[in-house]
Amino acid sequence: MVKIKLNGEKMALIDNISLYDLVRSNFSLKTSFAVALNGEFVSKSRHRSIIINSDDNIEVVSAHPGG
Amino acid sequence: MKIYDVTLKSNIILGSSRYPSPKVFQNCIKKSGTNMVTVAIRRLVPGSEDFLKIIKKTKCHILPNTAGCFSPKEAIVTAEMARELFETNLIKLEVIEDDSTLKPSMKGTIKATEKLMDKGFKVLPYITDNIKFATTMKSLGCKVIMPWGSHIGSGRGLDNFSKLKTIREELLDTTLIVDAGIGRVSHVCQIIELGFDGILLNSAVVNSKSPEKFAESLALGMKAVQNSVKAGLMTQRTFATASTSNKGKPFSK
Repeated sequence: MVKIKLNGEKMALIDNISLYDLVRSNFSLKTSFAVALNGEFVSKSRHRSIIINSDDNIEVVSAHPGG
Repeated sequence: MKIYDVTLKSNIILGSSRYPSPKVFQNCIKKSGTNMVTVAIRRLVPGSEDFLKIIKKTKCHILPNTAGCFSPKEAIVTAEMARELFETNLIKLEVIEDDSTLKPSMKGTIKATEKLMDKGFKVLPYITDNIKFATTMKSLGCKVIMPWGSHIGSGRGLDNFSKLKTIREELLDTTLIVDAGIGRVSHVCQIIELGFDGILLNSAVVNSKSPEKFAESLALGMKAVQNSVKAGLMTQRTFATASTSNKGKPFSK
């Protein structure tokens, strides 16, 4: 099991999957989003090549009202 | 008003938070005459509406913020995610040092600005009315600086006129925008009369009973004060000066 944190929630993956697959399986790709992995920004061009490992902390964000 | 290489048609920037509906938000944009709105980023919730689509429909320039960041590191990563999401190098930088006053951290803002400038961002820092804070931001290359008028969301207006005036007098070629504390149209007039270029506000609009009407009054107030400043304001004097001539006054010797 690959134990990770996704947007602050603990979860376990059966296998090491790509960052792209992790986002795709948890969110609608119709919504625009950006990602940080372990506190570092990860550009869209790298989502497919990055493999999720145990203890990774992933933040997936989107546009939100703000002042 | 110039925001780096973007020229806005209005001197008003609106926040996009806490509107009762997207429709009211869109109406407020129209009524205020603004074409720049601030937006934030937050964790994506499955099934949530894509706020970016609502923003894009307004055709406004987008100014992402780093609201809620308490460290330079957090603010930098937030800015990088915002740049990819909103496809803009502009970032309204907020690095907060105190949760209750939402006072910006001078040390943290300087550190984040240095890094963000290196990464090609066009930084609009949210600062206090401290002159040293303002001049440091300018020396780091910020062409737009946003001092607070008073605490965010307070609606108190300008706590310290003379400090803001000093910033204006020191930074003649910098776009200066009062970012926080605006509660009334009269505050807008004071800000423009001080020589500031513009305003950024959110709470005053959405806390009004009629946000659309308030947004319209903002545009009218801004136009009125800009016209009066263009016309020329009289010099203030310490003593009274009679406006009616004494020539021909009855009962005089």
